[in-house]
Amino acid sequence: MSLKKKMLAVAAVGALTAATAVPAMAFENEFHGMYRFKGVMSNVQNASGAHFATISDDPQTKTFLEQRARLLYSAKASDDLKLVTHFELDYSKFGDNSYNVGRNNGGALGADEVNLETKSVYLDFNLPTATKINFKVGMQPWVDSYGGLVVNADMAGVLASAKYGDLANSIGFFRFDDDAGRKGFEKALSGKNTRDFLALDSKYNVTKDFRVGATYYLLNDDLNADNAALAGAFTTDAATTASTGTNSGRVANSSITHMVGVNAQAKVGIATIDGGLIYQFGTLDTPVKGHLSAFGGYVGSKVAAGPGTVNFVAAYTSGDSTPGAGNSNAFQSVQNTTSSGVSENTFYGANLHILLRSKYEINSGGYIVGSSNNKNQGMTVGALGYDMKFTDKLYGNANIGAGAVAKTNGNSGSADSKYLGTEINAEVGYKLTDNLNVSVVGAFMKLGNYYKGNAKNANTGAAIAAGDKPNDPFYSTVMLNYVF
Amino acid sequence: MEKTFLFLATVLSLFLACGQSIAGTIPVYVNEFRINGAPEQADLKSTLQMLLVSRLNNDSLATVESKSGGDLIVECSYTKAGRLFSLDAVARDRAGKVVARAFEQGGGEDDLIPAMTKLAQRLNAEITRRLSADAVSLKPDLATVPATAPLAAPQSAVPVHASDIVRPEPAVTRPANPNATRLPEALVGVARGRTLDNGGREIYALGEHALFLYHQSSEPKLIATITFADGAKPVGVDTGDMDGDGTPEVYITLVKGDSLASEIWTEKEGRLQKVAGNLPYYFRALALDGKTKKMYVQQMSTDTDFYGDVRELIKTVNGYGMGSAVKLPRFANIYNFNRFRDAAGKEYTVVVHEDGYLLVYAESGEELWRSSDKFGGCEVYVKRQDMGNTRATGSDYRWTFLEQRIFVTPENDIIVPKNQGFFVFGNNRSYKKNSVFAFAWTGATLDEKWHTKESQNYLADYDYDSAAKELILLEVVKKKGLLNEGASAIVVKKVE
Repeated sequence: MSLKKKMLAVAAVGALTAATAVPAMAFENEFHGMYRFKGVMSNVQNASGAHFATISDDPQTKTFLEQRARLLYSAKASDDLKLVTHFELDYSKFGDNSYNVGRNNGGALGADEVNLETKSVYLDFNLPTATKINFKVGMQPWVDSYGGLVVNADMAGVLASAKYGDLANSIGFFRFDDDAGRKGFEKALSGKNTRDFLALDSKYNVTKDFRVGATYYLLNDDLNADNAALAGAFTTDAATTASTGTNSGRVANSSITHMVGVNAQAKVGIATIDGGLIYQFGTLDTPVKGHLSAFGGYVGSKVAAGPGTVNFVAAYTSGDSTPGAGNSNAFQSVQNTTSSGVSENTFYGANLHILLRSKYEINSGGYIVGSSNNKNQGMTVGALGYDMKFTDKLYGNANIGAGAVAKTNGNSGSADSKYLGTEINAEVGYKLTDNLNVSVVGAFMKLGNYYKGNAKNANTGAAIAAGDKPNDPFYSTVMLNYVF
Repeated sequence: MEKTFLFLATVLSLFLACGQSIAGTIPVYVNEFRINGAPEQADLKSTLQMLLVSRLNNDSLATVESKSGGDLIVECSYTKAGRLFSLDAVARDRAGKVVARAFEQGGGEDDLIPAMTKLAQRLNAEITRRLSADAVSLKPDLATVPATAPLAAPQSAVPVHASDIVRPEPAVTRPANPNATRLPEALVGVARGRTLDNGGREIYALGEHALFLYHQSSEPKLIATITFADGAKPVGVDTGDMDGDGTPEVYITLVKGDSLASEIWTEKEGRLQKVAGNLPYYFRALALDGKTKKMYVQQMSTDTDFYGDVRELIKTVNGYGMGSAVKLPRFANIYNFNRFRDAAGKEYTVVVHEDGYLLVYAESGEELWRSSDKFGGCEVYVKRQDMGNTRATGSDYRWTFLEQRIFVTPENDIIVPKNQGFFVFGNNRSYKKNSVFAFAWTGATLDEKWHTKESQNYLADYDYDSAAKELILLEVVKKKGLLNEGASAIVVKKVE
């Protein structure tokens, strides 16, 4: 029996043991959720849902309204057993569609769209052992210990975790993809052409204010053995080439990526500091067979200052100047293979709205650095901000952040500079109740020389002049946030 | 054999009932009447006395011939003004305490005898009512159950006590301040201070931004206020005289940003003075096992809301530190537990579970009992940024609600409140009514002893003075709204 099969068998036995061992208890229903409404005006976002923004000259201003609701329901059978479900209903924008079937739609007149998305469904239980071992089995949320630089997504798998005093350990096995049955891969066998992720994560509280951690992640990609390849005569499928070659951020087929890392969190006086460093090595199969050697890391701090808090974040991922040839130094973040260009990593550490994906994102779409791989260019980002409460109900924050690519490459166009630009933004909000806020956000980014002569006109498609830069992007929104 | 047993039981019951009846008759002596405003007549005093004596005799009262034989002494007067007359009577016990008063009046001699009959009826009714009230206050369900009774060791065949089949009734509580004063803010915490020279009490009331010191006699009088810095959120107030100087210090649990920065204050000459600040502790005053009240602390870590053991707060040379640890069972933290003992000295921990159930644990950590109803319930929370779990929780913040106090009395009774509300959903909590319950451990289960009448308000916090047997309830009578700060009331109830 393979290791994978053994793990699955152990998890299944564990689930059955827990389910039959718990005493009969009152059933608890637990609900949580959120609702967000945004009215957006921007020249860079267009309710597209895309992760990477298209920076162009004369982009014109777009306005749209969007909303998202999430509902979490847990059916708690006992203190040691619950079923957790998490659903999402959202529109790309008001007026997008109705009486149809499709996610992120249904905002047009009449509504009646079939658009309920299932984000999580998993069983959460504890083994009745002296030291409780917690299992989460099924489609579940998981984020790495590096702020999401590698992966921050819902994923199907089995996660076991336990605490021994100040030491916490977890081990997880997740299946990201299984080609069998997908179009063009009908000949593949379930469990053979897969992309799997193994996570080992340990954290130790040295003191209450100092925690260290170490991780090992393994991403094994055996996807894209298409029908032709399985038939013994390898011919490149055009569609497959497009999804692996041009979308080079995704780990290519028959690739294996080992990731080892260390992380820490500490409170020193009035400052809380956290950070991590992760090194990736292994083999990438396409576009060119070669070795991988890449790294990434981040550091963040919060310092109480006056009536508010100063936030500082810096993050770096390595890039590669020739991702299509030889060995690679490009940091590998996890991307999706079933929809185009969807990054499954999100780094929310910096409170930015144009340069990095905003924590308020619904489906606006379009950020300068759309993933930490950043089209194999890597990234260097730094942000400084200040959060404060003006009154008990009125709050605000202001941030400035600058970004650059780590390496320019074929995805950089004609850029001869790494500097992407500097964003400034501010938010002012009012707490209507403990759970309901209304706020206004404004963000502007001064583009860097990366874009000098390196963009097209949005209307004509013509390249801008060599010394010119495209219009600077801006983003503003009026927002309503409710959580419960 | 069965018939013999039934016969004996019947005879015993009759005997007890008869004994109860005899024992329930109060001997009453009626004094001679005082005559005011009427011509002196030699036989009038004794005639009036005889009229009343013959009318007072009934199942509850038995008139006696000598003053020394009466448990109650009735003194009466006959006052005449023109055609009108008034009969006035007062019944006192042996200590001179007034038990009942009554009067009757008439417009002429024809009214005298009917008025005397009515006076006797009134006295009768009033004395009977008072005696009944006293009897209720002595009911075993409420106050006079011997402290050891519910603490008996587990027995398989515990004799059925009559009170076991009586549905628990609301406690006889008497508002110490029947006209509770409305305080202009939806307050979050309350703690009792000293007893004042005039018999009143110090009350510390915690708002969302300030601490108020009231002196409460008939009405609360604001003595001092301290305001907390912007960005500081007070979530709890406790009192305790750790330095033994006779003046209790005030321990305020404060959250600043994602950290604890608690403060200790003390009252001096009508002013509040800071003793210590920026302490990384949650505070809670607890009388474990119903013994002396001490101050306990627990810490918060960078990623855990309740870190490490609950420990006793100790004074050190340089300030304050943590002393010995309290062993806690699963689900317990500094805010949701207390400890009691049974008659054999065995230790138990009572916890309000995060779902609201009341749990009793053995010393070994084994869960012995879990309530069917939910108790506790608090709207005060600590909110910390938790971006790592946004995907799992749907929120950028982690909300941790701080549970209501559990008191253990010197008799090892457990007092716990119960807030209820229509809208308690996820992190939305809006409680609408409350009641406070007292339980005793039978050896197998927590048995209700009493509960207060349900109040139509959210109970934000409360304190219990075991010496005075007083519940000091902080109720939010108007919730904080978009444009108003809400209002509160401090209601003091005496558990009699």
